[in-house]
Amino acid sequence: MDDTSCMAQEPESAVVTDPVEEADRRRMPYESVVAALPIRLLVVDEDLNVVLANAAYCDQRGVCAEDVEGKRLAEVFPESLLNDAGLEAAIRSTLETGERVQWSGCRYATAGHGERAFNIRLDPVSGALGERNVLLTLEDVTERHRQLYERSVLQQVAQAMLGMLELPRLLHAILTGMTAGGAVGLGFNRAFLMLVDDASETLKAEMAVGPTDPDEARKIWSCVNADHATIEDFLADYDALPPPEENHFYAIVRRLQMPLGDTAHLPVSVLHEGQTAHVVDAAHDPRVPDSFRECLMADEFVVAPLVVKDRAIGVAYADNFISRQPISQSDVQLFTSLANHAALAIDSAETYEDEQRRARELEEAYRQLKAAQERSLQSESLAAIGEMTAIVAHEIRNPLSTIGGFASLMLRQSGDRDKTRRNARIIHDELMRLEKILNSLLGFSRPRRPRFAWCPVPEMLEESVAAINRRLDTSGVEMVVRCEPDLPEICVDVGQVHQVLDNLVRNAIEAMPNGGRVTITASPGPGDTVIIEVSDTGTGIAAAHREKVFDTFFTTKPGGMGLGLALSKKIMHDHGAEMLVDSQPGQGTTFSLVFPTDSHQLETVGVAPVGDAEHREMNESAVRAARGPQGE
Amino acid sequence: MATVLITDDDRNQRLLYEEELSYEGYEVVQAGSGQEAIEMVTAGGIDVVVLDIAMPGMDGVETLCRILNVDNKMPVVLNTAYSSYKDDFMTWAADAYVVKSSDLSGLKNQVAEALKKRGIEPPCAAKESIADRV
Repeated sequence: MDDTSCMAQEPESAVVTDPVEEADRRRMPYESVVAALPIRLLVVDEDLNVVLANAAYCDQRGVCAEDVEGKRLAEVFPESLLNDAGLEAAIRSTLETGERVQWSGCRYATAGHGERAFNIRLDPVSGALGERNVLLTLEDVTERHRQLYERSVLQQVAQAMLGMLELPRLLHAILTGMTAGGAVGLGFNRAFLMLVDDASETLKAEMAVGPTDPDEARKIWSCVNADHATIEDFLADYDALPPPEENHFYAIVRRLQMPLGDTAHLPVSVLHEGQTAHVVDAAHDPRVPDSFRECLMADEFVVAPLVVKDRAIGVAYADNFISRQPISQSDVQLFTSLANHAALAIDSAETYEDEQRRARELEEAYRQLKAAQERSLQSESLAAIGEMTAIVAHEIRNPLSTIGGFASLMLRQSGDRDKTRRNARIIHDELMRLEKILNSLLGFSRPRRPRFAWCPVPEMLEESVAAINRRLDTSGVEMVVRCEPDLPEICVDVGQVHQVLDNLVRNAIEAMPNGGRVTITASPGPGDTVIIEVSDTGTGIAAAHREKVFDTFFTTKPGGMGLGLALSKKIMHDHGAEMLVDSQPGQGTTFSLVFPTDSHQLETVGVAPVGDAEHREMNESAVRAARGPQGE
Repeated sequence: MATVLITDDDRNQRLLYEEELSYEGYEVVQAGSGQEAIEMVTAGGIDVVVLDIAMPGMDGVETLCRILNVDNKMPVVLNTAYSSYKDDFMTWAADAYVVKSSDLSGLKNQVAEALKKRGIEPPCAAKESIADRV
């Protein structure tokens, strides 16, 4: 029938176009060129039918030219490319306007291959009969784009991580880099990090990012708009969301804590082996323990090690739990690269945290040391007060017990007038002693503020020695005073210097119970100084005691309080002067008073004379005091 | 009659103890320093030593040790204004430790007790004093 009909039509065949001939006729003049070019080319007519698919296109798609040619474009290309990406509209525009369109990086989603990217060029061409066609040049740049994109993502994330030394924020940035879409991240649905915890020898989930269900995913993805130029912008947006430690996904994964020795756990084996694991079917993968699968509910996922200088510090996990989009080999590679960068950043952040912690520890140690020092100073002063109290108690207890004892005796011996008189005298003496103790203590704790005046040394010494001779029994000793001529005046509180000299001469006499010589000399010292020395020919001071003679309460004298030399030293210090001791046991002791005479130097230590009139009046009164009642 | 050696650098204190212990019926001798006390113990005739601790030069603790080196049976009563010396174990070698007070009964009782430990009878007045206290 067919043949007949064909035959029947044959006579018309000269008029009616023979299909083969028609096809030949319609072949374009450039067809042989198009066919031979190694790039993918399609020719589409004005009804959007494919008229020509070259060998490169067919090879690439794995189809025959017959499968494509004559088909509507909608049967050849996916809806996502034609409509969503706008290819159909572009072809129509070229057909209408005859203008060439060049379109770089046209992206569209495919069912089986994820997102693809093409450089597309639309050229208006004429068909064999002069009809208007469009030549589509398709250059698959998916891989190149992916590489560029990966590089850009890695660069973005690495750059963002570089400056992040605060560990939680860094971990958040890493996870964001793994989960964010658009130009800033790998676009996984969920990701979390597990880090080695040395203390518990486990691998612990540290932070997680991702929705737990599609609703939450929509919420997050609508909040976090993909139009971010940098991951920093992204993080700023992301920061508005609940912190990752509060999210549900983290609540789920934080239950994951695995002993470092338990290699049955996939993350632990990834950690030890240092190789990324891509699990495609978790339910049937012997590497995935049930507990891990039940916790995460994902069939396909990837786990990459975080390795720094051959040391594994943790693992990173990612999946497409919501979209169920397959994870490609290049996704795995990119994830692994990002994990490597992340590991370095985590390591430096941890190092930084360590440094910070060490700095804080040092600071704390310093603070404690300072507090301890203050406490010790305080306890030292308390100890000094305690020591002083003990000494004062002792000093006072002796005269008190004597007074009490003799008072009792007086009661008992009231008939014996001689004894009563003697006891009363002892009581009187002991009371005087108590008063003296109190005066010494008060004098030491609240010395009068010195009133300085320039004073000639010879006159001052003369007055001082005269007063000493009146007060002390110097009959057993020889007193020698030598004063070199032309000595500069010294700036002193004459009354206080008299006290010092009195004390030194008293000590000297006491050091010579069998008599001897006390020598007082005044001579110019080194620099602008005058030295007054008090020497004796007494027993001397033992080397062990020499360091202590100026200590408060140090004494070697029976009944001594150990205040005289301490007080003298304090007076000299107030004068900006030095007090030194030199002693040879068995030969004698010399105390030297070194008075500076340079007024500028003295002013720097607060030694300045009072006014002239006051000065005269003051020194006169000091002289009167030194002379005592007999002198008047 | 038991002889008591009073050792104290404070002359008035020595005088007070001498008055009081003589009144109790003791023979009393005095030393103004540790060194002097050791010499007197070495010389003999002392039955009990009353020893101050805070003395210039050789203190009472050292004096105690030296006295016991001379005569390890010598009864010694430490008599001091400081109660803190009780913590020094060197003072534990003494028979008694008395803190100075205007009430001398404590000292007198300890002197009597120390003598009795060595088998020496205290004078009658001292015995009465202990009986009064009990």
